Amino acid sequence: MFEKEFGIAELIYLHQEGQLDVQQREKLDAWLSSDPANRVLFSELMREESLQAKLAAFDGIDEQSGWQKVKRGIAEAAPLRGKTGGFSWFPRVAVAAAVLIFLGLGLYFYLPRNEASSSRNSRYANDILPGTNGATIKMANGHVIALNGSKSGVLISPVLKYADHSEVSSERLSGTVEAGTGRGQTYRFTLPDGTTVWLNAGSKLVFPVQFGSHQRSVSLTGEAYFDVATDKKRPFVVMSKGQKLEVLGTRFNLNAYDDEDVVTTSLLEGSVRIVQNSSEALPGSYLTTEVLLKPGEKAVNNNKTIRLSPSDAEEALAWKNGYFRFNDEPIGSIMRKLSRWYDIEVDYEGTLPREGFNGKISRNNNISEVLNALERTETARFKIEGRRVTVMQ
Amino acid sequence: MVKRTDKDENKWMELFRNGDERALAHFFKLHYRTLCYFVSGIVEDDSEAEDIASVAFVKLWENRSGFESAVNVKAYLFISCRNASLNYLKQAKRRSAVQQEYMNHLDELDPQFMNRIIESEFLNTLHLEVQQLPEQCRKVFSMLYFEGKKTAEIAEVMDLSVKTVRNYKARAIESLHNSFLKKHVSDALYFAFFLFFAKR
Repeated sequence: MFEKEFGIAELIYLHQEGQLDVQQREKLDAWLSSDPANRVLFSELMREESLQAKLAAFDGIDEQSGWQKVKRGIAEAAPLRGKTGGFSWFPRVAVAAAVLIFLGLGLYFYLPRNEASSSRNSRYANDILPGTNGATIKMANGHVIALNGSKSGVLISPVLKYADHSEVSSERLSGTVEAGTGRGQTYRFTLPDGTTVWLNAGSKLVFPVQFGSHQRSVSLTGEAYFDVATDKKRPFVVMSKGQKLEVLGTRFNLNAYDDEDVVTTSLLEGSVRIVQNSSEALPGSYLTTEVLLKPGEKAVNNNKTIRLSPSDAEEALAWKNGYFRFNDEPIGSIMRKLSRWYDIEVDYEGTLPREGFNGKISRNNNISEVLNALERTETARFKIEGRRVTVMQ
Repeated sequence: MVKRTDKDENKWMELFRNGDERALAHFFKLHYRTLCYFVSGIVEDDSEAEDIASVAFVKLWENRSGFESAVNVKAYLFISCRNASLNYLKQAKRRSAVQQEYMNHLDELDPQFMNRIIESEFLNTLHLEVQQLPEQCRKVFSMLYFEGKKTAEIAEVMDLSVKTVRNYKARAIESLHNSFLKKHVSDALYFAFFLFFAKR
């Protein structure tokens, strides 16, 4: 169907090589003379500057990320055959107390955004939009640069560029940099050594523009997924509340929000050493715990002990993949996640359900979708007024 | 440019129709980037482009039994992406001048979409050339061409000697066909030498 277009692309290429024969030259000329827009495109592709910019954008496309989405899309389209990687639609049998299930309507990220949702809930005075791609970079001199949400990420180096190699700002970075997401924001950063970090909402990553020669050291508040570039000479160190984490090259998710009681590190690949760090303590004056994490494990640090347990990779990475995944999760924890992503205040009225919620729902929907799904368990009801959500019995 | 043989194509199509995921991966590697770039120019949002392009492959997979040839597959993917992009534009609250142009030509043979396809295909051909360079050579070329790094910087980042980096540059110039890509790399080489001689 598009043979003509594919053909023209090839002719342009051959023209650049100086390899057009007479017939091909005539075809190309015919195309060029048929529409001024064609001549404009041709001259853009023939000009080194514009060609380079376009090729840079082309090169910056993330195939891995796309493939993950495709794989998930096909898996979800297949009929549900029971457990898929630890995720279960069916009630847990062993628990005596009532187990609450909510079945997300399956409104995953790739469906058109404004598909009509079910009945309008009368307790919602308004709806709240989900978070978006966005972040800021605060430079050593205090200047704050707002990052463009329609770009897929940013490459950190003295000259700050977007993932498609377009320039962010003419100011050069030096010293220490603070990458931050506000509530309702998420973004991807590639550090100078090639490590990629995805920041969840309400998070902050502090790091130097040039890593030292012995160590690559960053500090995190909030939540981030790290894909650390291998560098055997320089371990990658992440300082966060209550711990210091050291890796050589690996992939893990670190959840270290100030308003959570524990710091959770989930390891996907590679190996990670976690040293507990009761901050202001003098070295040696507190008992410090140190653990070595293996792939498929998670470490939960409550500042007294670090407990290891098997990790559900799907749950740990749900946020990065665009959804919420609740695994026997209490309402308080759920509401904290919602508040960071939708930027809301939460109030509680009456007695709350004590059981954990299970299920999965896209985080690219308005908040009403998520609240409706939770309401279907018939254990809580919600009210929305402006940016305030009230959880009621 | 690499031309696929008919035998290869038949083999992949059979695997594909029979539900072998490797065949899907094969088409993904062939077309994803081109499609993503194509969509990105229309919707002007990288994440959205990623979503639309990925969904096209999911739909392709769901309908796999109906495809006769690789040409059909490619056409389907482009049509699917074009339609999804148009839907996105229709629902967008604010449109840029370029996006409005896309909307204005819906009744005709969409010349804007066609030109966007031409641009994407063309860039893909160049990109493929770069991908075919040996790994280290490609990294050096990438840093030169995309990041504008100098030889000394590259040597430091990759932990190689300056001489080795220059060798990779030379090899890239030899292996690349496209004159623009070659010219850019050799200009840089020329410039570096010029500096070197000027300092003495």
